[in-house]
Amino acid sequence: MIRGLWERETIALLILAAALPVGIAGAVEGGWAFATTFTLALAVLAFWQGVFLFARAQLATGIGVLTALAVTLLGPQGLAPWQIILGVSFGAVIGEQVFGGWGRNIINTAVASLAFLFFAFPEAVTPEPGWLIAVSSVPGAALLVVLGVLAWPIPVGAIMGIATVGLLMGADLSVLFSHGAIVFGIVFLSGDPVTSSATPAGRWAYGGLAGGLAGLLGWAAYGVGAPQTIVFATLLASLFAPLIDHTVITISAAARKRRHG
Amino acid sequence: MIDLFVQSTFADNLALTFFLGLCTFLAVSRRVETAVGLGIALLVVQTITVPVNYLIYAHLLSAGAWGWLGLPEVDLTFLRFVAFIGVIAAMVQILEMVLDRYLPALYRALGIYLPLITVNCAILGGSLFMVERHYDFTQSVVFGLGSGFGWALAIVGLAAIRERLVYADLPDGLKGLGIAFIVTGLMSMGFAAFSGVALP
Repeated sequence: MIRGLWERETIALLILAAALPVGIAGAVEGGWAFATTFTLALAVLAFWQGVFLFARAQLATGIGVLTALAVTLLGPQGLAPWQIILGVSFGAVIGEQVFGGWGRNIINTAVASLAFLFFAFPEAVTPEPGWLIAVSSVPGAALLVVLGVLAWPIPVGAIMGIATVGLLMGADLSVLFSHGAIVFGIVFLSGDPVTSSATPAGRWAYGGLAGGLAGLLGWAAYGVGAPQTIVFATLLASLFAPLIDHTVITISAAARKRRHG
Repeated sequence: MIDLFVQSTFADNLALTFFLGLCTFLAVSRRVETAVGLGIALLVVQTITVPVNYLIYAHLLSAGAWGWLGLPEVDLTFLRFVAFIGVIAAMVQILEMVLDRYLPALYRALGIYLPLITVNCAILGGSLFMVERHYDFTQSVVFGLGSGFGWALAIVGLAAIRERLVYADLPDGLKGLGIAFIVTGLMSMGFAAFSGVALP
């Protein structure tokens, strides 16, 4: 949908601008390993965009930079190049391009890639992005909320979901919020405007579901790091986002019918 | 018990982990309303048949079940397929009559897939898992409820996603069933995330 300035690439560029501080923080923390993984992931994404551009005239988009950043930050460390190529290709093709490209997918590309990598190579070491990534995600989140790209009920609902599950399980809440992976994931993966719910009440439910699942997987599952937690929580929440929207619309249509006959 | 419920709903989901009952799962997931109807029908059938089959298996079929009659060597386990299918068919028949009487619109929408619940692998699979995993009566009630709920949740979720796919621009070869298979694969990745969850 294009409305004045607001076309798909405007939103992609705004999201990239918001992710810029995280990218710089990640590059400072990660150094050379960050640069190589990021470049490789970006090249794979560009390759598949090119393939689908020529095969189906699906326009390329700049959002791949965020996908590459997310895969680099949260993906398992010490993977061989072919493993990264395989994982990112899965996300790019099955998660995004076969649905018609970014904006029409049902699962965030980075989430699909990361879920694939976590399942396919479980022995790889999961990184633990620290507080620097968490802090540097906050200005971007504020920018996206002010511009209306990120609906604020989603992050607020996610935080409330994590806090509720944490209190029920009697866990230490500060641990989860100081994890860069959780904060980054809530803003840029769960908050993805394409794959999240789109109705006002649905956004609360979606955010709460993503946060609640993150809390559940973070505290009740064994052998699971913070990146897996938020990636799988977002994957499940996105899968149920259409159902949440459908329910909200059905309920409000029924309420409207009762009011107006 | 909560653990068994969550396990059978998510990590051991009949449709997404064991790929049981996929024919109906893919065929009746085009519209959410129909999927909800079929999901509830399967949930009801599953919740009733697994415990009933447990009772039949434990008290009539298993080795030594006739011991109280002085026939401890009788072992009728070979009859379990016939007995289970009979119970399932009777259950579906009753459900069909109830739906035809009270929800004729849903009855027509489900069409052939309602009688086909009889031979839905998810239902028979649920009863066979109950035998294989040595569940007791309470566990088989929870397992029937959890696995039926998991199957219903999966088909309703898939139907909502497929309704949303009208906004997608799919390659011609993937329209319809092709993309449904891909979405099912993505869903089974999501549900498998629960395999490491251990609830108190």
